[in-house]
Amino acid sequence: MSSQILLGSRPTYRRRRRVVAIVAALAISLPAAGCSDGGARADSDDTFVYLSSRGLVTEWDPARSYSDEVVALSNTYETLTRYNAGSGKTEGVLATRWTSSKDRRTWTFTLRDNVRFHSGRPLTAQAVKASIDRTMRLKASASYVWDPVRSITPIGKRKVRFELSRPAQLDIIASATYAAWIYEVSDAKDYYKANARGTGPYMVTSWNPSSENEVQLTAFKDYWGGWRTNQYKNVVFQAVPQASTEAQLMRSGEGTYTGGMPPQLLDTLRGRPDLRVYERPSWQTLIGLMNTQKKPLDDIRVRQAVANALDYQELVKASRGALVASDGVIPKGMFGHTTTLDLPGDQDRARKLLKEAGYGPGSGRTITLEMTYPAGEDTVRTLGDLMKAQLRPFGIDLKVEGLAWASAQWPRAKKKNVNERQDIFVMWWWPDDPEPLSYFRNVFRTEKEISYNLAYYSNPELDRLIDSVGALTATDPDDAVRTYRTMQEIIIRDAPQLFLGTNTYQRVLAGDVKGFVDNPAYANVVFVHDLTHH
Amino acid sequence: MRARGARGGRTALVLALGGAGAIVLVALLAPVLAPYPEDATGAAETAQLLRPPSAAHWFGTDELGRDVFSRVLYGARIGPVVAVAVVTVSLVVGTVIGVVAGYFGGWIDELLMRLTDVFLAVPALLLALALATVLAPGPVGLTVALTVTWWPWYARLVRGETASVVGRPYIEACRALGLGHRRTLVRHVLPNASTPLLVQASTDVGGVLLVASGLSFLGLGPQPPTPDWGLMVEQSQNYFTTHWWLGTFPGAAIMLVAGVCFLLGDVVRDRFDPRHVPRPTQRA
Repeated sequence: MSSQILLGSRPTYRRRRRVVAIVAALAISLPAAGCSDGGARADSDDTFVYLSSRGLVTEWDPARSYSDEVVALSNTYETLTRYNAGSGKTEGVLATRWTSSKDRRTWTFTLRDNVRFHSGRPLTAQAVKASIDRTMRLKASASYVWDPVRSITPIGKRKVRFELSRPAQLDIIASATYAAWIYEVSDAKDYYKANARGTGPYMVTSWNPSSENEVQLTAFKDYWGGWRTNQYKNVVFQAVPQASTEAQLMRSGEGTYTGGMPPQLLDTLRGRPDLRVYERPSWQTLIGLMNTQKKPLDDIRVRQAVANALDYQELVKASRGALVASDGVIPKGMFGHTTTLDLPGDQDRARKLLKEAGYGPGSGRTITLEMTYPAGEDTVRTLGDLMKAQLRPFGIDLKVEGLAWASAQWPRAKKKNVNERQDIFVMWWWPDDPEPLSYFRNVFRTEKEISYNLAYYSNPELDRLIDSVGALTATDPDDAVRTYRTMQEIIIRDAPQLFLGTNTYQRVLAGDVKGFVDNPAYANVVFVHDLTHH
Repeated sequence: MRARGARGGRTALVLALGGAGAIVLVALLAPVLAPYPEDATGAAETAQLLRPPSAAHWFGTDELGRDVFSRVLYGARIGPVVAVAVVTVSLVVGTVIGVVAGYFGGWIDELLMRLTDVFLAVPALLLALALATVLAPGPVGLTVALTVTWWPWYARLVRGETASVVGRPYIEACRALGLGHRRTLVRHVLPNASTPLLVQASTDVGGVLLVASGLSFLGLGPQPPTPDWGLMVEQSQNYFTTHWWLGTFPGAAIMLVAGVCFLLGDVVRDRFDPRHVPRPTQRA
């Protein structure tokens, strides 16, 4: 953990000492290159160590969780179904069977037998209803996925009937990454905090937000799926801000999984017998949201100019394998994806637009834009520096700032005063459920209370399409595809978003892990119970 | 026979002055010397990412394809300038406060020295860190943050020297002759108190450079794409194991310049500090 020592080097009180500390700090960096990797593979073989570049938990309530903690909560809570991105089908988890009426307005799910909550109480139809009712009532997170549901009726102990107000593919909705967990309901304060109230294979044993081992999970003995000897009995989520430290932990066998290694370090881990690199295209897009309410990006011409001024091919090149160019709002492999959109990237047009808006070289006016990204995202940082270089000839001064996601970047974007918010907000976006709707519904639909519409964008026409496209998908898929195209064209025209690229997942796992499947429908989630090791 | 120490001193003097001169020249002539001056000011060349050192790029290229050699040369215009600025401003502020306190004594002395103590009470690096975090990140903010933490040392030093000079007969003679305070201070007190100050200041430049680079390393100094050495070392962290040239050259530049500064400080001390007598290693 050399970087931790560096950053945390305590100020000493005497002057001479201070100087020495800094010399030492600079010197440490060199020998760090040659650190040993002779450490034995993790002594606690039963522990799966998940490394991530930043702290995870922003919210414990399964009905409100809407951020990075999903990777932990997906191991403690379960959904009725799970989407298999490989086969394009839903599979049963807490439900074993489901049927729907022809008009797709009535759905009946049959629950699995012998499922118990962590408290020991059995899973019943009543509990499923209570949990989804609460999620819908709180209207937080991705609860909107349940919008079509008018009523939930338990039938006996093991059947649940859903009556919908409009046609919908409820088995897919029930597999959503967020807001679809089944949990025990209580409105007691801190009921969910650092606790698992679900049915999942793991329970929470500790949560120390500021410590290195942020979250620790341990096996739930009565899990319905049972336990075999070579499964992981413990899961630790470690926040490691420095990618080089992450690589070191992987090499020494102290880490079992890391998800976002910068390319130059990834290269050093390839071909090692004790590690395996998995790569696959994902549904995770890197987007820049432009503040449509603040000068100068409130001017549509300036937004279009910024979008056109960037050279996306160069960005992809500089990412060295971490990104492929985006084809639009909807990533490849997902319903509604198309390659025929007219995407920005026309530099002459950028110049013309800037001139019209009264900016650009020769106008004597510089545009200063402040762009924030989640600190610890190394590739994004490099891209930010490159974007700065690309925008400079256009008379645009881009200030790139890496801010801690949970404590700075996101809260700042939600400040009351528009002028205290950033100009461009860069983040990864992944879908709430395996449908393209959340790329629009959550990011671009008019929001009263700011959540993820961090472009602060509002367009009634787009809102209307967003509200209708869900039902269309269930009844007339062709029409839905056309609607999604129109929606993407609107976004491209109004330019609240920069299409920076689509992530290629590059995961590094300990070589002895078996059964790993990278499912883009559950971004960055490792379902640890599915894995074995020897 | 002359003392060996003195001869060694001359070599050091030549080295120190030569080194300092070279740094000043590099800083001044960076646009002429740098093969790719635009790389220092924010260009990017994605066709040449992370190339190792070669004839075209002596120090290789970085993660945005920029020439590291050019950036290191331009770096001479940032860190060293900040260091000199910090020491100069601290010196002026500290001297004024120290001389006034030492000369007038009494409640003025008490007031100024307690004020100085307030600043000294907070660990200097911590104070600099806190200030740099609050101020706009950049060379100016960095200079201000370091100056605020550095001047009290000079104030203390000057105050002590002044107080010791003030009691001497020739100052009393000045008073007896009816010289004004200002004339006494500037013509008689200050010159006699300045030697240790000069010695301290010259030694400090190197130290300030290291601290400034440290703060840059923590992201509190100049921001990308400024070719600041500390910042370059920081940005190269994740490349040390794979692309050694990104951090090594700016790191070496910091070391070299700090080394020259310390050497210069030593030379100045040898020359001017009457209390520092070169060890008598005379041969008979």
